Amino acid sequence: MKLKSSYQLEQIAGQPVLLPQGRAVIDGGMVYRLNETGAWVLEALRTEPDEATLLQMAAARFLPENAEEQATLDAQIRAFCDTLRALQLLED
Amino acid sequence: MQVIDAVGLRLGLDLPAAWIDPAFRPFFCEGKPDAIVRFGDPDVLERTGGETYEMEEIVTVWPDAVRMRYREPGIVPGTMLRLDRPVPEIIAAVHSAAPEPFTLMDAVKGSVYWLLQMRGVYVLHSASVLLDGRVYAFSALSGTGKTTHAALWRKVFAAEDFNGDQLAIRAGECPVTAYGLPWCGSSGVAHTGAFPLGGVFFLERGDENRAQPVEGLEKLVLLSQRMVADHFTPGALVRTMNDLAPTAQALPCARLRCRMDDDAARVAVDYARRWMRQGERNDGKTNS
Repeated sequence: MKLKSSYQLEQIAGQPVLLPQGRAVIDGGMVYRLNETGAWVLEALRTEPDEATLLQMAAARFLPENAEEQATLDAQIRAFCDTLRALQLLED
Repeated sequence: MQVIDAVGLRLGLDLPAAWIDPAFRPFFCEGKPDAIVRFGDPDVLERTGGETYEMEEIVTVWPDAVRMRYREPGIVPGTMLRLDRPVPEIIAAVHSAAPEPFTLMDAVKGSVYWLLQMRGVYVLHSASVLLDGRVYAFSALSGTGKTTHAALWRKVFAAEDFNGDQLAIRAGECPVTAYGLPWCGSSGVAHTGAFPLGGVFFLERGDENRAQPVEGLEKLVLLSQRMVADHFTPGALVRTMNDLAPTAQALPCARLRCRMDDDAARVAVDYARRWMRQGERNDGKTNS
């Protein structure tokens, strides 16, 4: 998975945002505000991981302490990726 | 050669006097130009390569030039901004031996704004008025009622016109100042002065008259979107937003959902005066 090249992770006034680039701006691309975790996921996507690898990277970053926390983390990462897909911001 | 001052950019008009819109006369100044407007045959627009962006106009960008072609070419099919000259040149392609001055000067506006943006000056698409020593801008898509709302401020509060279509600001300047420009759409209203920018209202048509503050990233996005600027070349949007971030922080903005009646002006002016009082409490270090 990776972020479409028509969008980039940027810092605006110290805040992480997803910004459309080039023609995506002309086509009415939106600006998306991110929290720290969202910014981390998008940073991780620069290495173009598959979903399983992304979940492993998240586990290494957020260190869930038990199976329940692990399941919650996995679910949240998957849900965020589903949102990005629904917004057509991801490509495989 | 006549020279005009556009927010500190001295623009030489290497044109026959009859081609210069009389509305530009108040902006005449002395000095060596920072850029020159000339006219040329339509073949000045012929060049291959570059990166093309299709919007209201068709913009093609090279490292050393920017071409703007107009979809309804009329007598001015486009302009070529040459950045590779010792003094940048804006060459307006002209079909006619006697172009109508308003049309000609309106056609070069996009190239001038490109140069202004390179100098950190951004142009807000807005109608604006002067009240209590401050400029207030009403920004919205064309047809929403900017001009009508400005007229209500004149009628109800005796506000003075500042510019019927745009005003300029300098990125990073705090408190934010509104600078007059000679370009003012078809309004004919173009103040030459510079005044504190009291605030910006983003107008929306509604069934009630209500102002609500706009803050944070939403304010920065709205301000950036409403600038007549390059947002589309690689890295331009992030540069624009970072340029304008201090402006957005200092400048009060509100969404004004309104009818086109006197009460809309009362609601907005009441809101604007609250901004002004807040600015005075801040010793004028910000605009509110």
